[in-house]
Amino acid sequence: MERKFQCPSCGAGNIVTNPGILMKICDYCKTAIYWDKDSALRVGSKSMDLPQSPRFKTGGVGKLQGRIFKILGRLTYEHESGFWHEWFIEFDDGSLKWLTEDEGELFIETPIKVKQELPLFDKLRPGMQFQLGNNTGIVEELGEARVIGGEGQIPRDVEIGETYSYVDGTSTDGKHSFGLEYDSSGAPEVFWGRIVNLKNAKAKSFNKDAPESKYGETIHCANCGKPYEGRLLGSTKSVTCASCGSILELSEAQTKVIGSNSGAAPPFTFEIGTPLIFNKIQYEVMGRMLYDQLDEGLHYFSREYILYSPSAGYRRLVEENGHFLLGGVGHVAFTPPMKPKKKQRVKIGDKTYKWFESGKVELVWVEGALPWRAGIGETTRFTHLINPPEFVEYEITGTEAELFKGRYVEPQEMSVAAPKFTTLPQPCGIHSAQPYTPSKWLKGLWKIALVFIVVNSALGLYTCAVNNPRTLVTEHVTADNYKNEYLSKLFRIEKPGILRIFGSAPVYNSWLALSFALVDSDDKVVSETDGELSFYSGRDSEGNWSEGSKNFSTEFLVKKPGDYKLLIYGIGGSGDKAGPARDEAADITLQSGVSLAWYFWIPIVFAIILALLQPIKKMLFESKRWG
Amino acid sequence: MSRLFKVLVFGFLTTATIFAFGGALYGWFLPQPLAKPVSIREGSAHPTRMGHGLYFFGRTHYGGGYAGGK
Repeated sequence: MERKFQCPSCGAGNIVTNPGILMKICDYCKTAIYWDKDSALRVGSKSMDLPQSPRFKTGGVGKLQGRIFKILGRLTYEHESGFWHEWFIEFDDGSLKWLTEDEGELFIETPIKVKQELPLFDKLRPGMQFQLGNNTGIVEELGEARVIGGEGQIPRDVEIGETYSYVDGTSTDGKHSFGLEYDSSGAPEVFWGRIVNLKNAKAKSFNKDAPESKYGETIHCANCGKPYEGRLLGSTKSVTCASCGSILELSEAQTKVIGSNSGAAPPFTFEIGTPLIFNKIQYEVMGRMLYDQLDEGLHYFSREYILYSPSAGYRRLVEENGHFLLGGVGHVAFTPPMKPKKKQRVKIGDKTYKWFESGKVELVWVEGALPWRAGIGETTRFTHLINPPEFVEYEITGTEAELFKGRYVEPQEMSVAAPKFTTLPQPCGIHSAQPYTPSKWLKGLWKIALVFIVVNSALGLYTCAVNNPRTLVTEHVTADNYKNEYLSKLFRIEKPGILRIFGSAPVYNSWLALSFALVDSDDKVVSETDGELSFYSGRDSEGNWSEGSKNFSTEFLVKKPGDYKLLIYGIGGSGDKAGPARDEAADITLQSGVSLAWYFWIPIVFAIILALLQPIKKMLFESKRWG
Repeated sequence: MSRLFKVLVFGFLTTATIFAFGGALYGWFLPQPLAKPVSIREGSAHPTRMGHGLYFFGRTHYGGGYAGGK
């Protein structure tokens, strides 16, 4: 049902289409017009010239998750670090919502009534959690905001120029958003809604021909007076003067100097305006910053590029030691651990991250157009968590807590993302969020190794199973015997194969070298082998020591079955010089049917080493990451 | 190149397995029987009149690493 009335200020005709409207900004003179129950019109303040939105326009239509809506009006708020728009929209089914647009993000919200008492504004801090209806809310940002103006039809009675205390935040699962607006009574008005995926929000009213400057005219530096010729978006809240380095806050209808870069400009890899393509979306570098982290007397610098795409909004590209990270704002519950330990697991959303580090960075250089008010010297406390290639960075700057989620960008992807002929820095060291890239050479090697481990284990077991040693002869040989060569008793070898000789002698700081010959029935030696026993022990400055053994075993081959004897010869010695023989007697045992299963350990050990190359390489990589 | 490397690894492990099999069951790497059997009475470097002590007796290389003392 349309309602027509004349503006009490300028007399121009205005139309209100929704019965729930309590306020209308005159389409012509921008004066706020209110009416009460008796429909008596009241004139308020004039709206200021408002920054344009890159997405929406009052009177336009849009589409959100398949539902068409019409934009009836908006309010624009200014706060410490910029401004945000609240678009009042009506869906095709008549339902009314608030669509908040802040730093390129969208939140669709409706006012709700909450039964329980909410915390007072003064009691809230960034990151704090509190009960909000049936949900838990997490404070992301709080501060003072001023209504600088509006457009069209508004279902609230809001005074232009009025200041509110506000709190913004999300639910613990990061799917919902909320806003609290505290008035002078101390009781907040609660807005509850959800975070909108930008891909699901389209507005047909976006006017590509509209001037991108908020003011439709050239911006001049408030310090040097030179015109700002860089890029500007409706969401731009601060720019840097290319001439004098002053950082200008774009508020209302004038620019204000809020800081200045000093010293020589630091080197950056990307210029402002550079196009970069990630995930098939083209972004443009809108701004760039240099942060300084002072840690144990050392300065660690990181460069940050603010990227913008009309379809995907803002992203941050961080450059550290030649490594790049791409991230954006995430709305997920996170409470930093009180006393974190390296690698401490922290669940954020549905993923588990490991705590890497916490610290403080200082903004030391700013250039370009940023969607917030960036002040030189402002410090940010951060907590960095990783689940390579993903990372989470929780930052608290002033009264704002923000969580950024993102991923490591591989150098190969970065070279594709950047324009041709861009010289990218060489990554230095290993970055915290850098994923381990398996070596191509070693990839899949474990499968080959596993096959050989299994085959050789099976063959080894088979060899053990067929190993059936049988004692052929046992002799106790005295020194007199072996010194003059000793022939054992006759024994029979049934089939060719491996023979093993076991020997033992009570050597102590002495040695005994024995030689063996297998003698056939024709008194001919067909095979030879030898064995040695030596055992030494003593005491030195490091304590007691011993080496050698009082036992030995040796194997040799026989190829013909038959009757044989074992010829044994030995010599000995003692002491640490060429001492006299101690003439120890030796016990000798000869076995047949021997097999040597331990040979299979050789390929098994090689296979295990090959299988472990990749894990070892990864372990070294991780050790560098955390070292 | 990585494929060739894997082929070489496969070949190396196959060879090692074959050698292990031959060594374990057929004693490929053990002292082999003498090509020409030697009579214990003809093999000595220093024949004596004794009944034994004819084959090894007189060899000088026995005693391993401790032959000259510890």
